[in-house]
Amino acid sequence: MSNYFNMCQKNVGKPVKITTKDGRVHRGIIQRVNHSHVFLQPTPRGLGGYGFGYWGPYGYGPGFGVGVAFGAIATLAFLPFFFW
Amino acid sequence: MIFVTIIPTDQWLTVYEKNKKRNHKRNLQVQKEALCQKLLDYFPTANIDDLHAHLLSHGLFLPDPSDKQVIRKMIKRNVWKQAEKGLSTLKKAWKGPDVPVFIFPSNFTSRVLQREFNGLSGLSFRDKMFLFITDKTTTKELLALITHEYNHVCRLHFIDKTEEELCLLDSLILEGLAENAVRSLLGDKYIANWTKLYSDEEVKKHWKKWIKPNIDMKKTDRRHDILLYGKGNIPKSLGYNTGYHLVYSFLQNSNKSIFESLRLSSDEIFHNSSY
Repeated sequence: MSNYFNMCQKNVGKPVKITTKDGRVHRGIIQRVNHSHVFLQPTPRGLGGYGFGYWGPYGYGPGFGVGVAFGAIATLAFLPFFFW
Repeated sequence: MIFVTIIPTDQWLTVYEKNKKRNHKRNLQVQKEALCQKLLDYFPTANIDDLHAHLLSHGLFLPDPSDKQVIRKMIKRNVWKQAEKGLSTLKKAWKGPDVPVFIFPSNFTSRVLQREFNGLSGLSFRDKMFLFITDKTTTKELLALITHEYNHVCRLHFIDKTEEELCLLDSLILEGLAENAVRSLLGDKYIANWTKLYSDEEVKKHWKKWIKPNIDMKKTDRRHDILLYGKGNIPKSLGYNTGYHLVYSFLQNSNKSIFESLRLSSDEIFHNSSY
């Protein structure tokens, strides 16, 4: 088992920033972990814009989070809560 | 007619419809591929999952067995053409920028969205705008939504601040200007429910207690949206409602038009309001 597996397993529910080897950055809350992937619940903030008054935060159910393969991770950092 | 850029999202929706399966989870993926993949060009720094979640949070439809019918009806009623006409008029009136406009069905499984907002939602940036509507949205309702959202586009264009520079006062004035524009162009009948939630006295109380101490709060602060939308013990639609009344008082005091007000700084509007 990879080191990342253990780190993620122990930190389910915590916000994390993962950079993958292809250079993409994923920010989110660790939702669950399986033998090959960590699943993040994305934090959709940051895209911004102004609406019409309606806002219903969309809850990603299990299986719909962003899955990142442990083998693809370049760096992984846990974030303090007030940062995301 | 002045040229405006309505993106042919009816074609994207037709692709979604064709690729749809029977399983909800799978259809979320189909939706993401058919719509968000194409939208990534307009959000160069976003990833597709964040974008999808962001649009869903702001009222994009959730895949559902009845969405096919909704999409077909919207196409039959030619809402894209209606939007083009309305937007063209506004662009000329406010001398605003040309931005791409994306029209999609709204989330018809959300009771709050359908009941309290009449199934209408939108999302605007200085360089693009989204309209979420239903197959039953009337031409006038569509115009009200376009007026509100395109007012945001113009305001963001004229004040020329980045997302990081915007603060709570800017947001209040953005929302206030947008809905006062709806009132002045279409009349009281078409203004949003959140303008009428509280008495004048309550609005003043809210201002003093929640908004005034926080007018400099950055838009990127997590508490900003809570003050704008309300949550828990913070009154529903707090920032939207207060913003509407603040700008209303400014327009009464100053006798300025929406066209002129769009080009004034937030401070100037604030200082000439009754707040």
